[in-house]
Amino acid sequence: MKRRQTPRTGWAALAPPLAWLGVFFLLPMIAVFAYSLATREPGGGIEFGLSAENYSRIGDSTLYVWAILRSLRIAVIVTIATLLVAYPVAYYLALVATRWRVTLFVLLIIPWWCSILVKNFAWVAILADTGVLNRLLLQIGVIDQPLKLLYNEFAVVIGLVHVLIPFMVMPIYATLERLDRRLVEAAANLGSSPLRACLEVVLPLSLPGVAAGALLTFILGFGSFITPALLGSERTLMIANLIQGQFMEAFDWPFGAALSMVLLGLVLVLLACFNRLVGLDRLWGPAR
Amino acid sequence: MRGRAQRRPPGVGGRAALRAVVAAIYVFLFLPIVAVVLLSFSENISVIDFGHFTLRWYEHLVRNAPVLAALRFSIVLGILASAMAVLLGSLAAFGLVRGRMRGKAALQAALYAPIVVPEIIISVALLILFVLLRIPRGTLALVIGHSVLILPYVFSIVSARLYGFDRSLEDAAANLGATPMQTLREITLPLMLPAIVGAALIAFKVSFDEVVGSMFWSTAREQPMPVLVFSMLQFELTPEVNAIGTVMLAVTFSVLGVYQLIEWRRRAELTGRSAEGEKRLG
Repeated sequence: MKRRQTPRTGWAALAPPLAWLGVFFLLPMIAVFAYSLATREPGGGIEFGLSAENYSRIGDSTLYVWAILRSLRIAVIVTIATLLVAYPVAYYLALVATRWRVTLFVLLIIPWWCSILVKNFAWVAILADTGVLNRLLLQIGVIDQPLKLLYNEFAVVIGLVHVLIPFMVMPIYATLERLDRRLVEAAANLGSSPLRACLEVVLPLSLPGVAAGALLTFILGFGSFITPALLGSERTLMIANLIQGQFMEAFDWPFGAALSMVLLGLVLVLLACFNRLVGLDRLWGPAR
Repeated sequence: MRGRAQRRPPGVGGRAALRAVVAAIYVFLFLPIVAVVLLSFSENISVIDFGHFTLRWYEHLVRNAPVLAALRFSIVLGILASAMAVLLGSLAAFGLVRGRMRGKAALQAALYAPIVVPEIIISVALLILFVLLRIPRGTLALVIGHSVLILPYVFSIVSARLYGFDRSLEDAAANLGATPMQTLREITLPLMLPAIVGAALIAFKVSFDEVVGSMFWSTAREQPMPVLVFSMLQFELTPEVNAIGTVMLAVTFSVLGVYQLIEWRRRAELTGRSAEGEKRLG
């Protein structure tokens, strides 16, 4: 049957949202780039230009280089830890669970939807010197001094993994669910152990989902602001905290803009690689 | 084949181990959240020696004027921002799903871009734009910023439903002489309403919990709840914060509960309708 919609109606509907994003998303990105090439005037104003000074200042300062490297390290650790935790959950949900599948799925979504603030400050009550964990360990006599668990990199990693698990489970679950189960049965029938079937059949086939989950986890971990601010210390500041400091405390916006461009550049490189290797539509489904 | 695989269940021990690991991970996911809710009703600050049940922290809360003002502001902001995002996001979904055009994949990537770019970058970028355009921080800036951040969620929900939309009803209306506008008003929009309401609820929820962007775009007088909570947490962890956190969770889950109710009703109607149809045909 002939549909009445023409390409023109499609574009007419798309025009307002695209214009909105053009003005309030794309244009701001260009503005950050322009700011990163500007310099501060002594009077406090901004002089636009084409100066690379802000970028070379990042390179000259060990504080900022270290913070970028630290952010990368934390993001890598968090991604690996989240993968190790999320894979069994996704595997269980997709291939093993039967009766409990829906319940477990809902139970995964509940913490996902909880406010990140609540999820993070909850760890303060657990990891503090007088927190749940230390008291428990003291009471059963494993330790006689409270462990320093809070306001360090360990706490930041725990907080981030806790927040990011669902972002890793969902894409892996999506690939495992579509997996042809006859392949696993065939491997079993041909005499391979369940573990071997998992490692040699299931794991390779789920790699696109793993890549999608790792990409999301890495980007969210690398650019995280709230978790290092609440669970970390001065010594575990990440790149987003430094950007915030430049904008809200030091008021050196051009320098803060240059730091933002470094973060954005790394994220864009990752997204481009992912698009090449797996395809961006793996993140949100193909456009039909 | 299937029978044989079932007769010889692979690795019972392995399966029990997997179950234990998964259970431990769920405990890890829930433990902190449950702790916050329990602590909000506890006289003591520690979960281990959970003191007497008390509503003291909530009594503090209802007398805390700044917190109440921030809560009210967050709700108003969520409504305004999600209204904006629902309008734009639904238009985008209709245009992309129904239109025939080239480069749909690129357009889709552009519409999802606000959720893959780190929030801190959108936050500072929009702050710079607001300064350049002389838009003051506060309600207007927050509505604009939130609408950008939540648009992808609306687009995702509405376009998913549009892909599954049964277009025979629209064709029937057109064959009976309805104009495209009439078909849209009488057929398409009423059928899409549950998806649009659902998208509005999810959009509200995301706006209600937004922290980073709100920090950059708000003022002390026009401040959403999460920004206030964040600044409280910078100083110290008071028991009152647990109560605020629990209230925030309660708002989130009431919104999601309504969303789920709409979904269930829609599914029940769908199955009911198809059962009725089968009866008539049979």
